[in-house]
Amino acid sequence: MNARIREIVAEVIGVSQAEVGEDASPATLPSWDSLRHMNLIVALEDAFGVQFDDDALGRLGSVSAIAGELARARAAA
Amino acid sequence: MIGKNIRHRLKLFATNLAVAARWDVLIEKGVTLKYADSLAFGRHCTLQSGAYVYGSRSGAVVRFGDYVVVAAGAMVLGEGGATFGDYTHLGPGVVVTSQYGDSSSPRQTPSPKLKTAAVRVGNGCWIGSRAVLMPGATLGDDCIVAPGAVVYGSWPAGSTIEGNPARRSRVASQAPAERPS
Repeated sequence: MNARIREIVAEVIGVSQAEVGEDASPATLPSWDSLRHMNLIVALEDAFGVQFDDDALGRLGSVSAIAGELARARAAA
Repeated sequence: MIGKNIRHRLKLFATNLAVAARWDVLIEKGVTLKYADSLAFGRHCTLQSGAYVYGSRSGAVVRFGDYVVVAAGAMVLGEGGATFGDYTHLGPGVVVTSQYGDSSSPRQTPSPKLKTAAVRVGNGCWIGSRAVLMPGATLGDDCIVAPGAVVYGSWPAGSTIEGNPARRSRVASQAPAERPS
């Protein structure tokens, strides 16, 4: 699943997949701004068929965090 | 200061006249058009009262197809470019923005740094009142956006979306027999 997440992050944030490590975040990728963060949420929900809780939207700040929240969202579905 | 304001209003009035002379567009009272050289209209477009269409200073194009309606009080900020397909309707108070502030740059300045991303809306889309299409938002043909939705990202043709951030409508995803009539 993380490979797919990294693929989506790279596409939406506008960087190469090589730049998207497990700890990639807005702090390590300057182009990961607030607008692209929201685009990323929409793209992740579409790709994985889930809907994040509003509380989770601010916790999706790295690839590893996204993987954790996706697992939680899938379990809750 | 009064002279400055009078000159500005005359300039806006002249811009509206120039656009109406060049394109097949009905411009109602109180419409504001800026950077009109970057605007392009198809046939039979309507800009209702209070519509505000700000073109691009950076070479992007804000293009309206045929029979596009920009309803009363709707706003298009087109610095990054925007495209609206034929028969698309922007409801009252809709905001379409292709620009947003670069929060990493200084904010206490008369010319804050902007980032841009073009907005693309397909043919036959209905954008409900007071919805917001964010920079980079892309809608395929025949999409419906519920009133008040805030739209990010790309949505395929025929999508019906609602909410903030906008997601697929739960009502629209129901079987027809289960939907409210």
